[in-house]
Amino acid sequence: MSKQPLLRVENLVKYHPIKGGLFARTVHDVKAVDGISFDIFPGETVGLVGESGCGKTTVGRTILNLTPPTSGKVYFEGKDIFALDKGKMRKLRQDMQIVFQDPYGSLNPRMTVGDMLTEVLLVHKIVARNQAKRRSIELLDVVGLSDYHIDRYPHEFSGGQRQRLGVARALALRPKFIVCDEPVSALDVSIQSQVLNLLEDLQDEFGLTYLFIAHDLSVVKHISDRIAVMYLGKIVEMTSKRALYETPLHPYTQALLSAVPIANPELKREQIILEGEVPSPIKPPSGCRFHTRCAYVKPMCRELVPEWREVRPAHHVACHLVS
Amino acid sequence: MAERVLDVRNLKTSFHTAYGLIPAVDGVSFHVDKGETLGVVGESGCGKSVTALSVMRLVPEPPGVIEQGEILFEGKNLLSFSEHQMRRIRGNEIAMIFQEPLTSLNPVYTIGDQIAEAIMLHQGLSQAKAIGRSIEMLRLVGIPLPERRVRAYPFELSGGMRQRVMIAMGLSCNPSVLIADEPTTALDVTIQAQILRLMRQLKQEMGMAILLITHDLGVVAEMAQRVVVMYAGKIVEEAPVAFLFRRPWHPYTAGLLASIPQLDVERKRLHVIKGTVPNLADMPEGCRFNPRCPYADDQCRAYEPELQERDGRKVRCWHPLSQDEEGTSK
Repeated sequence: MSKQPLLRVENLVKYHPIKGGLFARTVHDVKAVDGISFDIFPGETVGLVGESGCGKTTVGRTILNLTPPTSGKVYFEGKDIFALDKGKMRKLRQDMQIVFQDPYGSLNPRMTVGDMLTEVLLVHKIVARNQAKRRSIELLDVVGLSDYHIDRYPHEFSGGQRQRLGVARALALRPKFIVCDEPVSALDVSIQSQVLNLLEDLQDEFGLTYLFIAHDLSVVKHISDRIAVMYLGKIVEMTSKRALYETPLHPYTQALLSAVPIANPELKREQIILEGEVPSPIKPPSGCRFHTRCAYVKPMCRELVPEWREVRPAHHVACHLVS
Repeated sequence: MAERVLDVRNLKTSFHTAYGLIPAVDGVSFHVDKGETLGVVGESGCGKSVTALSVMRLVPEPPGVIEQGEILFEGKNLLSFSEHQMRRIRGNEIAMIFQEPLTSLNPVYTIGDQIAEAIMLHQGLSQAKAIGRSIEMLRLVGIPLPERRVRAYPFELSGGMRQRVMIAMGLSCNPSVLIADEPTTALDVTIQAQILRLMRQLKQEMGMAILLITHDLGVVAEMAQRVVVMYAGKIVEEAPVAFLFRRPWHPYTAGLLASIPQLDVERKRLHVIKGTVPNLADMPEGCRFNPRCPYADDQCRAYEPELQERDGRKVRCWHPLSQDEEGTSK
């Protein structure tokens, strides 16, 4: 792709300080995101996968400037978003939206659907007051809900419907880019496919660009064009979905893929089962962060941080052993 | 013939609600053989957890009530047992592990004390011996430094470690049946793979039967020999695992299998089962799946089908997909 990226992330770092002691000084840092770089091009879906605590949600929040970074840059359409003042950032938020994991916790229980949607529209001055209701009904229609839902409260909806409401709210501002943070993890299987299909339809219809954050590799594979795999605050591998699933190069990616249970009892395969657990992000291991669990570990892995390299066209890996 | 450890017959468990007495599990029958893993799959609210709790006689009464049925454990009906008799079964003969290991462990006791409690109670060992056996169990489930961890509190352990503790506790008295209710749902995939491998190994070593309740069809495919599919409080299909995945008979099972994204299959678009699971208080007439079924006709809307048995499989459907020509999908 030779196009300009819609979003460019450069060496993004986010540490959460842990305060302690008499003067509440910072005693440790949780190194949630520790120097990651990637581009997202217009119209594509980039999947971000990793296990709990790897920092994927922090990435989503930081690139939307919902939480300030420790260092690094994020460019949206060429603009450095951390350099914008409050007013300009608010304007930019129209273009960058988020859908949260928890469809129960992310909707105000005391607001009707109509109030919720018109508030968004009016705050950002998208439509005039007398047009707001009509536009809200249009939005409900776009996400597959009906006009009579407009006077209902969130508790009157099922999980899948609530997730549709979350999508409608994100779409209200006609964004270009949406971060989907585990949007289907809380849903039942039969509802999950409805929401995934909806997200794909909306992408086609409105030319949306997604960063799709999830822990479920099957879901990420289904929806993404390119995929980044995170481990302990770092991206360890990023490439097209096809290359990632057919020729994963990083030992962690290989293990992660082979750990996914496959709904085919007749499929015989060798599983790589990782021993141990993800180390603490407060004191990540030296060198390659994966070396404590890697089956192919060499002495250099314990000392040197592997470089982020393009080992094949459009296939980036951070591993000493991949040539 | 294989030895039947657990035989559930026509179980009906209901709950008193504002809408009256509502059955959550409605006439469910299944059995588990010695050394077998039976998978129970279904979406939230289909009654799979209530089934498990009924077997353990742990349904809170009130509001719950087991209205009818038999739960035969080694030939004895658990529903006729007194609470006192039941206590000898629970944790000793039939053990259960839950989805959320943190809320199932007592935060103010060490894990060693919690495992030892069951051992002392059921096996009559002294405290010192019971702690020794706890350490052995912790080692068996792959917890590093068990002599040290036996004195740890639940909050000091990670999610995967807590689930291992739950398994250690469940297995400490050599149960004949282990009921695992979504044992890996709260865990990451690499940890899930560890726990599933552990359960497979322990089943082989100890020869117990496992009732595995899950919504994850991948986990079922890897673990179970037979599968029961539940929908809205009833069993809609039962089959050996390979047959179920190769050729589902019930449209609901087929829909579920087609709607999951899979690593090994490229799908352009996911299949969608329209609508949602019906409210238990407002069940549709006829077949409970008919409002969501693409093949529903007048018969399906008027009359509820029975669970019919054929070729060692069971299906509750007027028009099971098996009647199709080979190779065409309806």
